[in-house]
Amino acid sequence: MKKIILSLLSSVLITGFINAQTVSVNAESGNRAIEQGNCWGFGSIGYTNTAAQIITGSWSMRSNSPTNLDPGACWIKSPWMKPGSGNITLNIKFEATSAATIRRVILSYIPYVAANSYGEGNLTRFDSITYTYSVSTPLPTSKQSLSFAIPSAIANSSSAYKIQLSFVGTGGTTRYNIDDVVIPGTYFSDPSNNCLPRVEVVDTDGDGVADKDDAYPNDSTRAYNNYSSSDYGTYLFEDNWPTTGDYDFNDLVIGYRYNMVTNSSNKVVELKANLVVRASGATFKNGFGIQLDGISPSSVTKVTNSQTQSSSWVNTSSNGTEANQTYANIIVVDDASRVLPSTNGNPITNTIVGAPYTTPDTINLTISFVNNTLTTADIKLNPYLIINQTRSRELHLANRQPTSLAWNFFGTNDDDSNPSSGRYYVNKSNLPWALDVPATIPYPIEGVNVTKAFLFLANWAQSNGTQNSDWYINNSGNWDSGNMYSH
Amino acid sequence: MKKTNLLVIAACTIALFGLSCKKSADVGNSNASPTFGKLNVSSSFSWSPTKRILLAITGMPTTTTVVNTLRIVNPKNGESYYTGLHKLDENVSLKLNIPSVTDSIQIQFGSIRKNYTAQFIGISADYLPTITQDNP
Repeated sequence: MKKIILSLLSSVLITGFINAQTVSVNAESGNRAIEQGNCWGFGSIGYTNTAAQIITGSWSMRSNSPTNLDPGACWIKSPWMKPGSGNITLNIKFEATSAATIRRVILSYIPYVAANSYGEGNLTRFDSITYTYSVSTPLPTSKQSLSFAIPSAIANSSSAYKIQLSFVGTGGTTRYNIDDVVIPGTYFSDPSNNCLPRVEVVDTDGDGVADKDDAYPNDSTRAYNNYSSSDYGTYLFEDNWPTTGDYDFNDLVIGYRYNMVTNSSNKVVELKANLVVRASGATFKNGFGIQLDGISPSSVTKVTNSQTQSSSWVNTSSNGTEANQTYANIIVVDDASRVLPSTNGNPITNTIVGAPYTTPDTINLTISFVNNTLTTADIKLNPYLIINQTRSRELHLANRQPTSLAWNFFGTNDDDSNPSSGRYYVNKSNLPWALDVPATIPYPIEGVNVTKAFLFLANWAQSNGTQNSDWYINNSGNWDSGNMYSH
Repeated sequence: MKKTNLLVIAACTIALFGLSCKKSADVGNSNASPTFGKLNVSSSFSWSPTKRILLAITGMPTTTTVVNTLRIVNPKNGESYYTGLHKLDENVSLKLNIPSVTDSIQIQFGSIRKNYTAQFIGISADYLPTITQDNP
């Protein structure tokens, strides 16, 4: 059964006090943008805190110098509202006693007509007050409290109207000061929907998220998808760490796309990972895991679709995370060559041009979390390669922390890690053994150095990232396709 | 002697061709990037393709409670960095990982749209409209 949620009708005024069943403006915010953001309209009206121009409080409104009697020349327009009954009240004064011929305050209403621009129908005038200057009847420069009855045509209406107050005149330059506009009625605008009248929200699962915005409109425990990117990204690994390899960065190539599914409290319900083992240019039987930095394993309730096949070196807890870890770790695959098998007896798959191609499958991993504990900012993904079934030999992206089970290799051979300073998985020249690219990209042919495929990768790195930050994008001159794997 | 002359001529010919070949090789590699292993990169360089920004949105005081979906997107390609349910008068603080190449973000709250540069780590934002002389 459909549930309809009506917008709340509480009327809290911007200045911080509550007035039931009125819509009002008094400029005390000192910032016309706030009232404008709440759907008030202003035409040739500004805010002033000049002492001589203030009527009440610290701020008042001030008109431009009137030049004609057209109601459209200078005005304050209410948000859409449902008018009540009684009187519209406001305070005015003039900035000078003379320098004017006529000054007139005009009250009008505007019906809602959906098809019109801004939804505004015809302006209908219903009241006014005129000041005609003469020596014997100077303009009042002290506060004048005005009151105008809401016309019966719109009083207590269930339809939406705007009330327009116009401040017009001829002759001279004397301006109006205006304050304390109060209109009986109920605020009925939506500042988040082009300041049109509020509409009933359809929310089928009742989680507070409108169906039009809800990625799961029939599931109250889920609301939004938060994807890591619109496209798949690419992890590229060199598995000789801690020894330097050939830098073809295709020993393991994984396409990835993550989705943090959140609920209406903006807490992560689950992390969905789509992972594609695209290439295994290695003789090693490499595994792949993901650590959630800073997340306790007990925050995870369940892991589905990991591809470890009861490997003896993978110890999994009952919730699917790896055992004996400080942070939550998921071993996604224990042997990449099993999920991307070679078909010609050569252990290397999808990196040698002309060799049989193996079509990759997608691993659809889901990690579920304890209810309402984690935000999207809490989820810090730390992917890594497990080299040749040796659990302690992990390879992470540059300067990403290892897991609790990694040890024994830091600072050996070409590795220049310094765990005490948080320096990991780089050599003395600060070069990594793993790359993370936020796009689906091809990778080098077996044995071809990565800079021969991506021609401005070197420039990007050596310029400290200030140049060629798009090195991985197939813009003119960036790629040498002849050095990239294709099938 | 004849044999010696022939040998000298042959040696000179080989040397000449050798130099030519080397010269061609020099021309072909003159613009080549260094191989990855030869790079010398600053220790401060981040190999990460993303950058973390801290986005602080100041809520706008409202006459009534206004709840809607807040989205943070790339205004050039529409890529979404955050989606959540929030109130218009709520201050929101977000830590976002966005691609390093992204130079601007857009805040979307229902129909409200505001663009901000993403050149710096900290971004202060709000929902207030731009004041014009006359607004409807």
